[in-house]
Amino acid sequence: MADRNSELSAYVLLTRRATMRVDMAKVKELAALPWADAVTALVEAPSDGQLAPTSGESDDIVGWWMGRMVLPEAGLIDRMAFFWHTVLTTHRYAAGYQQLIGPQLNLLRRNALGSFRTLLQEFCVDGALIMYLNANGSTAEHPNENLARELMELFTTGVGHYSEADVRAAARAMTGWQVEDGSYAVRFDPARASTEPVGFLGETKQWDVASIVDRLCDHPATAARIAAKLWYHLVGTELGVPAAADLGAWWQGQQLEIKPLVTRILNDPELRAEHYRRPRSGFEWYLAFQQVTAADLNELWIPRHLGQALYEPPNVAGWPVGERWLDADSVLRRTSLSLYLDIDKIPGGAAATVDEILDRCGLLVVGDATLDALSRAGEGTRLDDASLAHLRWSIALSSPEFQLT
Amino acid sequence: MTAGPRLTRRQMLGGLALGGGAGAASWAVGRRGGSPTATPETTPGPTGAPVAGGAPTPAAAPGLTAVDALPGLLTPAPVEQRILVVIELEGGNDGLSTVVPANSGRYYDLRPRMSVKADDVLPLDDEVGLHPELTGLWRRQKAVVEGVGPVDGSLSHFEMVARWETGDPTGRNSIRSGFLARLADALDTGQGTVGLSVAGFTPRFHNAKAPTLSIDSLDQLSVLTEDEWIYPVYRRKVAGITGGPMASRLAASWQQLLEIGGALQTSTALPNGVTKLDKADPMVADGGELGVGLATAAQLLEADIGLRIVHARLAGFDTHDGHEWKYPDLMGKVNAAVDGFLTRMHALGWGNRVLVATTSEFGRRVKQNGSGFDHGAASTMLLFGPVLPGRYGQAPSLADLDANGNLKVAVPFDVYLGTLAQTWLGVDAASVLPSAPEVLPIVAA
Repeated sequence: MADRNSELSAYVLLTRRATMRVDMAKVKELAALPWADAVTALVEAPSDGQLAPTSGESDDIVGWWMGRMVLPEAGLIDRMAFFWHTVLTTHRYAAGYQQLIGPQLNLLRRNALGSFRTLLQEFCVDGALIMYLNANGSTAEHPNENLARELMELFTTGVGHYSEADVRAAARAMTGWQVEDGSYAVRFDPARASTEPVGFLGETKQWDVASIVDRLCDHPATAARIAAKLWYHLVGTELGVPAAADLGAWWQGQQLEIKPLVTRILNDPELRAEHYRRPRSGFEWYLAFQQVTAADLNELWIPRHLGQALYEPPNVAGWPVGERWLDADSVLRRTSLSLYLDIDKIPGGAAATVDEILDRCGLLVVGDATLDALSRAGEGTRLDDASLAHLRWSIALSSPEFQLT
Repeated sequence: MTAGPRLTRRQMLGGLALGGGAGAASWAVGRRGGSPTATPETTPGPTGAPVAGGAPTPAAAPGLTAVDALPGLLTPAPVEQRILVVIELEGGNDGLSTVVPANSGRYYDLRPRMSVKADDVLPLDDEVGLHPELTGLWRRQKAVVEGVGPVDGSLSHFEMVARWETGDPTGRNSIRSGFLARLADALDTGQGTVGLSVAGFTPRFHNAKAPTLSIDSLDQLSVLTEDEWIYPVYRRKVAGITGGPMASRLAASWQQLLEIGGALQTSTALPNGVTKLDKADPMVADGGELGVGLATAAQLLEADIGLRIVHARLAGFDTHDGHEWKYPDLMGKVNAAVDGFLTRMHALGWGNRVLVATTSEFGRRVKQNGSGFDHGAASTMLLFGPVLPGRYGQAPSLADLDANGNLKVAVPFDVYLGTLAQTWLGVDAASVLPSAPEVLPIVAA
């Protein structure tokens, strides 16, 4: 691997991992600071105060979010909101009403760096989630287990820390919530809720959504699991069970506040030990591709074609993580898009040099194979300059480095 | 027209189904009693339709089981050569419009406006017939499976699609890999590309360990077949990709793609590599996205890159409204696409290797709403290829509906999926489906 700019390259890594875009102006701003100060600048950046639309079509709501992610001022908040969306999933077509997506997105962005406990409390009575996991209209007579089960299996402890009886008990305790027709407001109707004491995780009392979520947040497995997921997302390595337990225990000591956890992970030397440790997921690759090529952000078919459109997870467990994003399907789809790009949309695209191409792609650290491929592109053919530039852009976008973060 | 030939055909179809079902669970093979006296004037049209490659078959003797006793029927290829083509009719297919109970007064009572006229159906026996648009497929060797669906289903597309995809009949087993992915893994011999999806980036093959490919068009493969641009770059560079496990994984993916590309470029079936689809081909011109998908799949099957499973799709079956004009259009597309595809497979000499099987997340409501049908439960699946012709499963009663007014399920969908795995592909159903379902005897043992 050649490091083309050792002063900036670590800060490119930091920007790539901690935001949804690599903006060289922002990189240079951060690179003027010692690492810990750069991390603080990212973590303490004020919220943009913007709110997603809460009416209209969900296409527009998703489009609004993508538009925020690629703004120069976008930062850690949207990286974290994206992370939370991959953990606390909802499918926009299964959420019943499109209008419910905006409020949930605002919830994720508002709490992205707040308290995990508050985030989960609000999420579990969010209208879109209630619709998605069939908690809407779940009553004492007919409790629906879907939300209760996924809350434990996916959003908190994971399997192995509760019984089927706990699922049934939690389902009963979480009844009474519904989304009102017309206003789409979430209401709790005590008349439809179960008020009987139930035994949940070894304690029999009158439980409700708030106390169930609280109890699960107190569980050490929850902190360990969520912290390990965030570690993988930001660092790109698997933490391992003992290290996850340690990080989780430490995070519990921080009252599950998200800022200290993110700060600790971003400051860990392991984060910057190596470039290109985990695959860019389909959506991450799409946003990076979009920023390089200036492709129209409203082309929602592209992230769908790449297997990761926002608010369209394949199931409630969210999108796969890891090598799935590097299989032959993904490589072929990404390479095809790389080949058919419109280089006239890229400022100076048709006349770009290899260095200019690599800079715009954020590839300050690049392997010999890619450098060689770029320098020898078009060898033995008679390509005109624009075609040669086109081929080089395609090679950079389909290079191993660009598939990874 | 008289009732005679129809009865003959019914005996042939029903007799075969019964024969093939010897030893199976009683519900597994459903030849219902039903009235043998169809009103002749309601079911005209060609009768005793020939199965592929043969003349109309005479009445089968009761108890007949051996398929080779039936001249003209395709005999399935050895199990290791068989290919499964799954066609997803997305949105919830109205089984009562696919296989029409044309002899049921109740059907016409419940659907006064949006029924298929008895005069128009393509008769299968004296009770039911295929939708009138399925003319080409009606002439082919086929079977239908009635009453297929989830036992304790939901009316949510999302939920039911997820259950079919994962092969999880309850949706409670936390299965995160696709049924077809597990099937591909079971068929993987380490050679070639096992699975192909022409239905978008779907989870069907997600988490498969076996090599699978999903493409939206042949254009995508030009990356691999045109000897300029990126392909030669990677042909030179794959070995040079270094930098940790992720880079190795990428190199492995490129290696797989280069092998597919090499196979496409050298295939004797495709002397010029992958060609563009012929837009004048009726399959492409009239088959909608399904025709395009199956034409794409046919190209890759002809290139013989080792495919055993193909997944294709036709969307638009969610006919809450406009059923009357939407449905014939959908069936016309199915007919053009599948009939054209099978013609190509026969031309390849693979008529006995390929089974086409439909799926759909659920059926539709029996009673019409304004101009369509709401989400239902049981639906009817179609099989084309070297099957034992007949009606399988249990035609759901139009008199005994569930609490939502939907057809009750007689064949849990995991039984249907297990049948495709075990009976057709020789993969033990229990090894790919957590419910370890019983299977239907759709092909000669």
